[in-house]
Amino acid sequence: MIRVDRSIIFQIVNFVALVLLLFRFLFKPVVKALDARSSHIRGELERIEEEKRSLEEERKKLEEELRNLKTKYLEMLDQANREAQRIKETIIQEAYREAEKIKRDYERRAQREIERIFTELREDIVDIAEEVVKKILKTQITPEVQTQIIEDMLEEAVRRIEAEMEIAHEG
Amino acid sequence: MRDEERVRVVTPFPLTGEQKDIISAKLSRIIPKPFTIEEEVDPSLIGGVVILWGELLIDCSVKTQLERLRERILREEGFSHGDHQ
Amino acid sequence: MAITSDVLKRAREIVTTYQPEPEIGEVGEVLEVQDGIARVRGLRRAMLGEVLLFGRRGLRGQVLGLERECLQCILFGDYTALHTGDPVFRTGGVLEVPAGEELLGRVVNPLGEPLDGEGEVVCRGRKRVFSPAPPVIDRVPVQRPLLTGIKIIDAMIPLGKGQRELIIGDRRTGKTTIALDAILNQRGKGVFCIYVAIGQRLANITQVVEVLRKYKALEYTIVVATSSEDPPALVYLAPYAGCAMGEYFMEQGEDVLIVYDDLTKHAVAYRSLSLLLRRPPGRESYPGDIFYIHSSLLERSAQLAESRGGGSMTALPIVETQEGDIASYIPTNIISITDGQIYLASDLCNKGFFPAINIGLSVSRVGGEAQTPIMKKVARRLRLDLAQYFELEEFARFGADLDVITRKQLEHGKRVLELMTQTYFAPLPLGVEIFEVFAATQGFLDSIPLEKVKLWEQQLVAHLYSEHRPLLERLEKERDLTQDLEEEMRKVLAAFNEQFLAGA
Repeated sequence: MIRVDRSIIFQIVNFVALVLLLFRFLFKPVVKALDARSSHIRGELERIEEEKRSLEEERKKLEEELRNLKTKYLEMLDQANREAQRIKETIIQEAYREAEKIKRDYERRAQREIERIFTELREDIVDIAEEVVKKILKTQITPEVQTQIIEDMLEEAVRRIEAEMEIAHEG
Repeated sequence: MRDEERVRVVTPFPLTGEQKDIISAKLSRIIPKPFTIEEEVDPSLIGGVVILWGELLIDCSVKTQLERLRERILREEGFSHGDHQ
Repeated sequence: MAITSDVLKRAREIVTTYQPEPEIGEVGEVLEVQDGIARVRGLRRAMLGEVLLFGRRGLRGQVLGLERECLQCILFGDYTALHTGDPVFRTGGVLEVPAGEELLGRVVNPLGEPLDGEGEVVCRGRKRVFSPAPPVIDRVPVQRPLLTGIKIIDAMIPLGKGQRELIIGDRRTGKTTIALDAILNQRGKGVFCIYVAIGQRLANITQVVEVLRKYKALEYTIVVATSSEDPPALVYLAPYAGCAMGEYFMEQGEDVLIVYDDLTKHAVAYRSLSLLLRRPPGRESYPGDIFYIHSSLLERSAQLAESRGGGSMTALPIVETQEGDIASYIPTNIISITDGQIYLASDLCNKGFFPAINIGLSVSRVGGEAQTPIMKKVARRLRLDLAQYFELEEFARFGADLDVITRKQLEHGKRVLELMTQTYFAPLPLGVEIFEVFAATQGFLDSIPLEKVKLWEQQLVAHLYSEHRPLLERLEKERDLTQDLEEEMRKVLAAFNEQFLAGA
């Protein structure tokens, strides 16, 4: 038989009071705290998720930009290449033209040199011929020939002068 | 007014009498007054005669004819490289 | 060699067909030789202006005087070997020089003899050295521009083809440089150029040739050179010889630019000759025909009518003054002959302002007729701006207190003036000139610090060349400065300024 003691009732009341107190002053706050913590954690988790998402977006954006930059870079490179090519061609053309000009210059100078040599050559040939002729003539001109020359040429000259003198008179 | 009386006659060889006569005769057709002939010898003329009266110069020398021939030849065009491409 | 046999064959032909003929000629005698003048006895039938042959070396001379008992001749060459008694022969002809394209790129003396060591000049054509100027009926007014590439000149003292414009100033003020700039600017424009050095120092002549060669101008230029060492007769002949060479081209319908550097030395040479010829000396001992000597030369430059081929010869005579005296004899003579002058002042030189052109004393009597319409429009403001600035400058020098508006005008003027300076041997194309003048007068420089203006110019020109060539071409070709053209220029300038100021 369980002797119902007043002490048991007191114990029970004590216990209940303790439980109630515990509940109110320990459990509740603890649970609240736990809850708070858990919701806080949940909140954090959500935030992290948010951040992850926004970072992901940013990353995507940056990637996009990077891609654009790359394209632009490639374009500029291409343009620069084309420009360089154009310049190269211009330079080559210029060089070619210069070379042509130099060539023509040299050709002209060579031509002139040749002409000069030819002129000299002609003169030399004529000089030699003249010398030969003079030598021969010196022996060939006998007094008779000399007289003949004088007769013929002087006659011609005198005739001309006479004609001029007539014209002068008439005038 | 030309220098009268003095006519320079230049020949490559000394003048023979015949030659002198011929010259005198021809010159008297163009020189009105009496003149005297000053003879000169210049072998470089080769042949013919050069007569100098005042400022009138009559050149009948072989030397000058050779010179003219020479000029004529050298003046000819067509001797340049262009003809022989 | 085939050539030898050809020579001989031709020679044989000539010889066989040759007819000997006596030669009747006139012989004169050298009485006296002195300082490039010879007196000749005989040759009574020789005419004034006839060419005579002296001695046995083919020395040429010209009859300039007929005295009772003798002829007075000037000698074109080395007369030191000439003696009294040497024979003198008539040629029966007047003085001629070779003329033609074969002379381009060569340096010759007034007789056409080569001075550049590159062999004889064989020319197809010959031209009389002394000939009368084209008559009125053959001329038309000067209408086509001749661009020098120098901003101040092309904007405010514009030259036209067929004009005679005097370049006058003290020694070492940049006269020859301006003329050379004008020649350099004719590259690719189809204008033949002739530079006549009259009694210049050999060193100077060499320099000029080098400049022409360096800037690739020699290929379209003839250099007729006489140095101070040459006999006065040759120095006297030089400008006429050059003129004749130019006339050859002009009569073929081409455009020619001829520079006479300089006529002061020419006058002195002619004075020497005249005094030696015992002609009566006049003012400053110059002979009585010293005016005619120059007018007959300069009148041969003209713009020919279409009926005569439409060619032109533009003359840039140069005269050196002493101490800036443009009122002395020779300068006043030539000023009255030419169609304007470009006056170079030594004080501007000393201030470092190049080209040292005194805009107030310079004028082009052809002026606007010879400007493209766009440049004409744009340059009008320039004149006004500069005139205003010079007025204010005087004012400001006295340290007077200036109001904001005046100060702004001053600063504007300073920048305009700064932009108008130009370095030598760097002629600018018309499009760029128009752009610069426009920029200056429309105030695009006002925001640029004064000491950066030249840098601004450099960068602008580079920018225009690389990005706006079509616009430059439009400026050169179009008939009028349309709104839209103006707008474009403004846009380009605004954008450029932004860039420039940001970069600075």
